[in-house]
Amino acid sequence: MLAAEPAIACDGIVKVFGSGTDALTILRDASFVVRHQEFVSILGSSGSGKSTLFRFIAGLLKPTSGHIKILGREVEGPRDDVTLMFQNPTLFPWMSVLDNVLFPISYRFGRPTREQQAYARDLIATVGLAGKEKFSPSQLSGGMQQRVALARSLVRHPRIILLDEPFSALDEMLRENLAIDVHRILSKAECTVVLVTHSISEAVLLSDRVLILAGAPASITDVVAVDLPRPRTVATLDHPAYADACRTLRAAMRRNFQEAADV
Amino acid sequence: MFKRPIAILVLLAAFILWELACRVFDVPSYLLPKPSEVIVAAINFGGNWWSAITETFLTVMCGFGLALLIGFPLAILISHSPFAYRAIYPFLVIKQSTPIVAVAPIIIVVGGTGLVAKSVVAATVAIFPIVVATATGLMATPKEFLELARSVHDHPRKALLRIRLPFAVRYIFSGLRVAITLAVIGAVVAEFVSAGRGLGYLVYSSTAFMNTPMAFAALLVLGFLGLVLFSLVGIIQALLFPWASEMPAAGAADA
Ligand SMILES: Nc1ncnc2c1ncn2[C@@H]1O[C@H](COP(=O)(O)OP(=O)(O)OP(=O)(O)O)[C@@H](O)[C@H]1O
Ligand SMILES: [Mg+2]
Repeated sequence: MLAAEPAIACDGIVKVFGSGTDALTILRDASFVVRHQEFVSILGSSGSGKSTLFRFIAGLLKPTSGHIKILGREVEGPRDDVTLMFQNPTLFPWMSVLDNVLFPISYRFGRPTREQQAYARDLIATVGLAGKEKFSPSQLSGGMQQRVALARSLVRHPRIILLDEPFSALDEMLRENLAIDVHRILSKAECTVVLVTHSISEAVLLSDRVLILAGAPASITDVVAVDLPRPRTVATLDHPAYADACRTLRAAMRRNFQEAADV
Repeated sequence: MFKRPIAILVLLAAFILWELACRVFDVPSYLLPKPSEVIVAAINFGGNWWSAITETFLTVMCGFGLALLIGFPLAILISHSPFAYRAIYPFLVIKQSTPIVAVAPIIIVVGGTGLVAKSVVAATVAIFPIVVATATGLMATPKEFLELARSVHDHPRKALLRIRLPFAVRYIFSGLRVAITLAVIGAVVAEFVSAGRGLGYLVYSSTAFMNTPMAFAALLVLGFLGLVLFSLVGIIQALLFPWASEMPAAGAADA
């Protein structure tokens, strides 16, 4: 792979759902680039089209027009090196926690190897669910289910990972801790990460850059660089630049909100 | 059903009330027999029960099996293409709203009074809930489940077997519970018409000879058979698919 190519390049993405009088334009000329091993967050109000955008990048849906390139190649369908963690946990109730985590392997290749099983157990432990491998998803809380889904999206060592509000069902403390853990794991794995979140502080804590998706139909209105050192830890929260970035983002969000209200 | 002693108590109370009412109002037994007379008739019938029960049971099971054999592929076809849905569904509805009592004689005339024709009658009524429940379950599979599978491996047949069908299990079994009771009804109707053997025929012939206590006894055994088969479907579900009964809680897709 050419390191010079951006990991993800979205160019002029337009999406229209429905047709005729029911046609609804969701995205209008959304363009952005995510660099190699960058951690980018997308902030945007509910219904602005963030999950839809992720489906394009994951190759599950085609935009009405525009181009998406991953590592220099046009997206034509799902790719092995890109995983999408859905907004809902999407765990299969007929499988144990371990089998759910191993699903991306077993569904494609059949029985996982010992190493793969061991790795899945490691991931389960990493997300704080050690000892729950044999549990059924219905025995877990919403936040635990999200963490299983997170472990599952890491099991195939993706190069690009798309996280759609992965921490939304967690309490604040757990959220911060898990976010920092995930950041560490993904940095170590040299993943390129795009995260959708509603939380400004979470976006700043984790990201190298934050994109704001706003307007109706939506496009990328602002790009805010977060100049904080890696690795991100709890100490990051006390960094002066952290508060600055939060302030900048909040102001940008307000401005977008105001513009939307004025229309 | 058997786990609820209250149901058994209600049944006992009803029998006692019935017995008392018959005695107090002196109802003739050819109109409404006393439970005690029914029991006596049942005991006198003795070893003949076995052949009557197995006969009906065989018809029910063959009819049910036939309904599964035809119903599953049909449901998969319907859930697979909107065209098949529009093409097949109306006929199923027409079939279901035509009374089996009207259809059964035709089937028996064409197919004879053997097991095959009787099973076809039973299958005819049992097939509808199987098709509807299975197709509904297959189509209700959350979009994200299928997207997740597709993002790993784009293989529709695999998705059917490993995602859609497991998801539909809960729906399928609720259809099977209805189907098995309908199969019993179908079998009884077939026996009425074909005038051969079995519990249905027993009810029919006993009534014709004014042997009302015997008719009631056969009726009760029939009800019991239906109950046992119904419970059996539930037990099989609980044994083979324990997760399917707790699925609503884990319907992760709409969490
Ligand atoms: N398959 C579809 N058909 C029609 N409209 C759709 C479809 N999928 C999404 N939409 C519409 O597109 C818009 C954006 O949906 P999307 O799920 O991408 O929003 P989102 O930004 O992820 O919102 P949230 O933050 O609430 O998750 C919504 O108005 C939704 O109604
Ligand atoms: Mg969303």
